[in-house]
Amino acid sequence: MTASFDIGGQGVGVVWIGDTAMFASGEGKVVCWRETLAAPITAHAGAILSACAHPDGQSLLTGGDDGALMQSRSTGETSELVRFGRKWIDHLEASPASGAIVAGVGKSAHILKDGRVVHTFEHASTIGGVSLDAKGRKLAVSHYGGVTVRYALMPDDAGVSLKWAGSHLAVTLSPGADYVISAMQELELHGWRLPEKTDLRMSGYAAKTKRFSWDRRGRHLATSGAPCAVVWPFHGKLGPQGKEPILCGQRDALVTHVAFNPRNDLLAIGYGDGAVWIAALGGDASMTLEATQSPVTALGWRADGAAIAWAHEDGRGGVSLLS
Amino acid sequence: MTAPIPVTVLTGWLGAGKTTLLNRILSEDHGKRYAVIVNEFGEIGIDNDLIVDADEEVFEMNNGCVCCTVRGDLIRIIEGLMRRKGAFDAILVETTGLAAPAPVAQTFFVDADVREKTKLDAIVTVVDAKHAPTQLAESAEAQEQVAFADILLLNKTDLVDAAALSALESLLRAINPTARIERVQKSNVALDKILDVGAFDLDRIVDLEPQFLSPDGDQHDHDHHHGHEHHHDHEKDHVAAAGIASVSLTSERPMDPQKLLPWINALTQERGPDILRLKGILAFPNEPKRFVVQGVHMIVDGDTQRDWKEDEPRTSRLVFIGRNLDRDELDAAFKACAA
Repeated sequence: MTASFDIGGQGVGVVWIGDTAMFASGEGKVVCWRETLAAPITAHAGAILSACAHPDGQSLLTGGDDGALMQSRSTGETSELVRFGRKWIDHLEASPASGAIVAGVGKSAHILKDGRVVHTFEHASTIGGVSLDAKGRKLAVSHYGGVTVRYALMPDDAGVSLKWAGSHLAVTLSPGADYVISAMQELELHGWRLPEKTDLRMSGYAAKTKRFSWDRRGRHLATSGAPCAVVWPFHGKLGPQGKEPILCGQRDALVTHVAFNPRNDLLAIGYGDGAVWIAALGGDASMTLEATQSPVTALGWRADGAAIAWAHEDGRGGVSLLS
Repeated sequence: MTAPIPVTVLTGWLGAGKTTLLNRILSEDHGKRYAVIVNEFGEIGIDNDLIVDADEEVFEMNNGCVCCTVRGDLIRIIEGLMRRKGAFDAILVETTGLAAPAPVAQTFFVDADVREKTKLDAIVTVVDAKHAPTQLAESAEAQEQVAFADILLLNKTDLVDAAALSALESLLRAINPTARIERVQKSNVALDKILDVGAFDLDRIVDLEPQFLSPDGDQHDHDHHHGHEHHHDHEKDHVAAAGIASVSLTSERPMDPQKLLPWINALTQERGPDILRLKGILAFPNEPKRFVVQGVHMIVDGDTQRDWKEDEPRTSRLVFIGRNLDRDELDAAFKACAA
């Protein structure tokens, strides 16, 4: 069963809370779908720039260009957690394991616990991305000239500084915190194997990589930015070093989003032409859930891996129940 | 695919009148809604729904191009603004008086996401008629702002006499012969002269600058008195000594594209840091259309444009604005590219 509907603005993120898919849109609204579409919740005065599930697993967090960090529930209530003046909340990450929320605001990474800011890590330049490991303890923050990895909940942690010339944008920390991979302005990935800080370079992209997704075992990293999902192998001692990536869902259109199923090795792929595909590792057994629309900007699996939701740049959204 | 959003860059020394102009653009009834990107150290008092603080973060690109710098904050802000595209029709970027304009301009050519969603419309530099001579003599950034301009808004002309104004205009022309100069008071320019002009649009680049094809026409209009000439020459030399100047090359013979285009490429690769901007209209043999070229440092863009008119002399003209430019050397190399 597949449903398609209007979410009222550019899709910024989609998160499943139980059986409800919660969509965050560029028009500041949160829209819930559970069998039918509920009335939109107005969470922000301006655009939503970032969204993720709250550590409580019961609500959606959104960061806006109005400087507000909002918490919205599928029942329709929305409340402000904190406000950062006129600053934009570009990045949000949260961990159910540690209860930490990270808000990337300009050069600052604010750490929230129990709904309030407990401390802030400052950086010399604007943050390109933030990522927490599976335990929600280690935090990677990318910026100009590299990535800094710290313990998120340790206020005075100077952290480990990983340096590489250039502008580092989206970043991901592997679930076990043994790899950090960042996307560079120059259309390539730079990575470090920890704790040795061994450099890794992964190139061949046609656009900036904006989305990363680790499979449930942390053995593969799927990436956007090429006319297929580029999946790097991370099993074995050396990770992707000297290995070829696995290419999934090769098409003419650029991949704009990737998301591994939380229960199996299927990969959901969103494309620049609006298609949403489900592909097995290696590329066969694909399933087309959505044909031509505007670029896919959000993708999210339900926790049981049996349903997926997505959204497009033009404000359309969709849900598919796979079994 | 929706049409790219036009971006106007507003530069100028502190106190030149940028904020007055900005407020006029935002308050006048022209039916367009603007998103405004301001610098946090700028002059205050702007009233607009969509106003964003920029950090003026300049990033070097690791693409082997030493002068290739972009504004990382602009890339991020534009991506954010595009989340609600329907909320505005155009973008205004204000820069501080201290900012070098090159990274701003290059951002719109180098970053693929920005290039897909927006297009640079024009760089408008507001010049304070009273204080500009001192600022230009003392500051490399002030010179660069003039050098990069598509439109020079010569403001506060009521505060100086005709002679001083004429001298300043000659000084500006020495740095940037291709920009259109608008003389105004209290930033009172007609907005259609500075907005949606398509200064980086190859199809419109020349229509914007009617004086472009007649180097001796407009420039000397105001130099009636010998005394002023003397003054003007003195200041020209001064600017030359401090750095930025321009070289205009012309050829009555058509150019050989097989020679000329590789030469421009090699020159901008090698001398990119010194070449701030270049603009040219070129006549190729057996080509009924004009070839238009423009560049910022190492980034060069060229294409055929409209047909040459019947009565139009097929003169090729190439203008470089930059530092350490040797006119004789450039002229010889340019002439060697004739067909």
